[in-house]
Order: sequence, then C-alpha cells, then structure tokens
Amino acid sequence: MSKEKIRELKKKIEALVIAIPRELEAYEFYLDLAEKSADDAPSKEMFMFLAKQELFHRDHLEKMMNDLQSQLEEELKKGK
Amino acid sequence: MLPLKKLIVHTHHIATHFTNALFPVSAALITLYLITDKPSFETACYYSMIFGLMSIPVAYGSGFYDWRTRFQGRRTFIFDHKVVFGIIFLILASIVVIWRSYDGGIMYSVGLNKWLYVTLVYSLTGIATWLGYLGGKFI
Repeated sequence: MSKEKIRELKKKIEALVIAIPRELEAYEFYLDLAEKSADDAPSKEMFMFLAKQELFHRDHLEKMMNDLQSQLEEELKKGK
Repeated sequence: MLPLKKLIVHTHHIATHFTNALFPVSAALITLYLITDKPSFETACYYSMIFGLMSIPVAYGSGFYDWRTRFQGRRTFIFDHKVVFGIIFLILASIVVIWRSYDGGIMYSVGLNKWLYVTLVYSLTGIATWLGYLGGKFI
C-alpha cells in the first residue's frame, strides 16, 4: 500500500467534492439569467449554452470522482 | 424569496460568522480586562460568549443540512475536522459559559482557576479560527 498515493487520491477527491456543487450553483445562476432574459433571445441562448456547459462540467467531475474513488478503494484493499 | 435550500446555506454562513466573531471578541475583552482591571470588560466578555454560544446550534444545524444536501453527506478531511473540532468547540464553549454563570467571581480570584478560564477563552478563539479556515475552503 502506498500511503502517499492514498493521501494524493483523498486530496483529489476532496477537491472534487468541493468543486461539484459549485458547477451546479453556476448552472442555476445561468439558468436564472436565461429566464430573466426572456425578451432578449441572443442573451437567453447564450445563458442557456453556459448553463448546459456547467451541467456538462458537473457530469465530467462526477465521473472523475467515481474513478478516483474506485482507485482509492483498490489501494485500501491492497493494504489489508 | 430564496428557496429553502439556499436560505439554509445562507443561514449557515451568517450564523458561523456570529460564532467566529463573538468568541475572538470575548478573548479580546478578557485581555482588556487583564490589562486594565476594569470589570466591565470581563462582563462584556461573558455576554459576548453567551451570544456566541446561542448561535452555535443554528450554525451547526444549517451546516449539517448543507453537508447532507449540497455535498451529499460525503466524508472528507475537511468535513471530518469540522465535525470533530465543532464538537470540541461546543463542549468548551458550554463549559466556559456555564462555569462563568455559576461563578461570577472567577476572574476576580487569584487561584489557578482564573488562568484555566482565561486559557479556555483563548482556546475557543483558536478553534474558531481553525473552523473558519476550513469553512473558507468552500468559498
């Protein structure tokens, strides 16, 4: 078992745990702006595009975190 | 009107600022009492801690809700430390306030108890700073 690797994985997971809700907050922020731009089609389109990007980021980060968690579990199993 | 989830998150930020401000202020007031020997500073320290202690349940309750919802109850170094030091903080703050409530003359005595009381007041500032530092990582 590499304690260094486990520590590194835990740090990365922690960073993602903090980052994921931020993506969702950004999504809600852009969605709100899109709703407020109902009279301005180009703005609404831009905000919707940005909102979708944030959801894409969140999904990407979730996937990365699941991968890291699997790696962490494997490392911990090796140590047992 | 904010949705309940957002409102609770904001409540946590507000309530933690009360505890994180009032306990360091208490330490500053007790220091002023030690320097000047004016009882009003000691009394102000006591009341400052009472208000700080009163905001702890709101801060912890809303923080727990935030952790369960926004962070889906995930366990990490930061959350674990916030829980452990939060419990220590609550216990110490309760001890100090209850102690001072039962013994109003603690700071006017000459024994070791006086300095133990002062140490506890200062230690609360240290823990509040650490908890604030950890909380700041989410901003």
